Amino acid sequence: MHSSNSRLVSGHRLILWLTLASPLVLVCAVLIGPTSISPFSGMGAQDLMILREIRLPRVILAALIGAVLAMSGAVLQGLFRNPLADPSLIGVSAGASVGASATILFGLGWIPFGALIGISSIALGAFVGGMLAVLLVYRLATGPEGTSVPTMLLVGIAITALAGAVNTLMILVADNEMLRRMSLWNMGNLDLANWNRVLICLPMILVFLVLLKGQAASLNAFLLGESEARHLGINVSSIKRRLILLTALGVGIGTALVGTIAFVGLIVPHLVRLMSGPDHRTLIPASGILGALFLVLADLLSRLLFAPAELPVGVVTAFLGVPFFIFVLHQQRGRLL
Amino acid sequence: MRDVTPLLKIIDLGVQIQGVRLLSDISLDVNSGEVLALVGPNGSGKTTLLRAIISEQKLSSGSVSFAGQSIPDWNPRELAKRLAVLPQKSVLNFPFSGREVVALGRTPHEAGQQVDQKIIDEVLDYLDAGYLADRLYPRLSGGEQQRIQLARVLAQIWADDNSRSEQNAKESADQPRLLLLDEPSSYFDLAHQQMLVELVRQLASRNITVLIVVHDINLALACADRIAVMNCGRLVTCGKADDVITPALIKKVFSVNAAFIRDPETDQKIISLRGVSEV
Repeated sequence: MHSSNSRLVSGHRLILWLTLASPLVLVCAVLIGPTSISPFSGMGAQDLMILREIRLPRVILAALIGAVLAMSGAVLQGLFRNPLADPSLIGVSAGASVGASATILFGLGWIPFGALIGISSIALGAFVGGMLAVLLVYRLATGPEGTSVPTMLLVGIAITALAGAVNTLMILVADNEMLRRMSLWNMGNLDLANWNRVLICLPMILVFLVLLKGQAASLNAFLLGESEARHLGINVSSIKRRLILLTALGVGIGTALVGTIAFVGLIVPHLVRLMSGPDHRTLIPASGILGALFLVLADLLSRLLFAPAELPVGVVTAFLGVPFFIFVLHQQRGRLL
Repeated sequence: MRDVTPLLKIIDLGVQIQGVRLLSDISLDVNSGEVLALVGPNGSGKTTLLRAIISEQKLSSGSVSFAGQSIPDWNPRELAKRLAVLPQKSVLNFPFSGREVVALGRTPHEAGQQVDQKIIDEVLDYLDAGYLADRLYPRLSGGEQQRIQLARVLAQIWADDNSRSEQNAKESADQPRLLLLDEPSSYFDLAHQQMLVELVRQLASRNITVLIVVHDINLALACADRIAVMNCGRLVTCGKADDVITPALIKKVFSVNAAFIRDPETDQKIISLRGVSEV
């Protein structure tokens, strides 16, 4: 039996490698596109304009949202004590989808608030829808004895199914133009990225990180079981509330700004765990960086593959992520998750 | 000099869930430094009592206090430094190494990396589990997992003998600590059952008091100073191990005919079962 517990790399070293790799990936993503820009052969005014107004905000937004989705996934898998949990399990993605569709269908574009803060009302509708869904799931799973995580899982699935039905109803009554917008939104897209969205995203992510701060050790204890964590002196119900709020916020922002992007929250933390183990003190930051890089790369591919046409980034994450994920699982068969 | 007041004091404890009385009128003292074994047939309320003690189960009457303070009034973290619980079975699906699981026991402490690592090594040694330290927990056998969990709860309340400041060391060693074990031996082979008996006996010298739920009467006789017997949610009797466990009691509580013999060398009392009795 090998003594060195079958980990590829220590968590700290993985974070170091990922950190070193990120400038390279980010610079490539900014420079490469339908119009490739070389920093060495002199940039014209138009190039600079593309860089500043299109590429840069897009890459930054992709990185921020990739990071938040992956960290939310890591947190949620810890909370559910299930390495296969996906952030969509708490109903936030489905709720956001209903919110976005409803905004498109009922033409709520006149709501001035969204325009006021510089993001589309669809994004606002999606965010509200996502939050309402999580609130509903949380309420339904919370009894006098506290919040039951297994119940939350079941309620989340039920609410997701219900939201799917509501969505289908809206599709039935929508006209062609609306249909197109709805399905595009559902596929996830970064082409609406601009500095406004980045600026909206930043404070939300700050709140996310503040809520996340110092929770890694508690999450580790949580993996032992709820009562075991309680015996270790952890205030389980307050931590649950905080972590659910945190993931709802994280996934809510991501979904609202770029639509449904599947698999990042599932695959990234899983890969990190395979490489360097389940310790949340390194799992969460490493997932954050890897998630950022993953979404930036996926977005780069979405721009390149059929240039000048663009693929929805959600399609790329699925095409890229799923086969790789299955390959890794296959490799790991016999070894553990 | 031992404390005169009991470390754990249970007064008139009752638990009722949806009109069903699970525990009634339980009063029990666990004294500092002793090993108290809790025995009783399946469903007699042993685990419910453990859960009630640590306020995981709401009391419908009575109270539980630890070191003179009602358990719900304790700061959870301060309590966790002094009271550790080993559940019957913990499910952990994530690939932590054995050492990492034991390290989770140090969660409530802020002793620093160095002290933590030293304590983890000590308890792993103590439980003959050093060779499990680098193996992945989900791949261990049931008994090995249970030993790692036992090491974890020990690490949680282990006092650091030679802490940097002597003041600290003295304080932490003087603090009364309580270990609640729920069926710790169920997955153990003979050698490790014996190890458990010796371990539990030795903990008193480290000022760790033990309340242990066991099914195996022989194990209870071997490791406990006193034995409390439960049946149908009530405390039947509690007293010195040798005095309490008698053929009459075994027949009354477990409906089994039993006789007791003594080990010729150690004079250890041993139960021998002679068939289920007619009720």
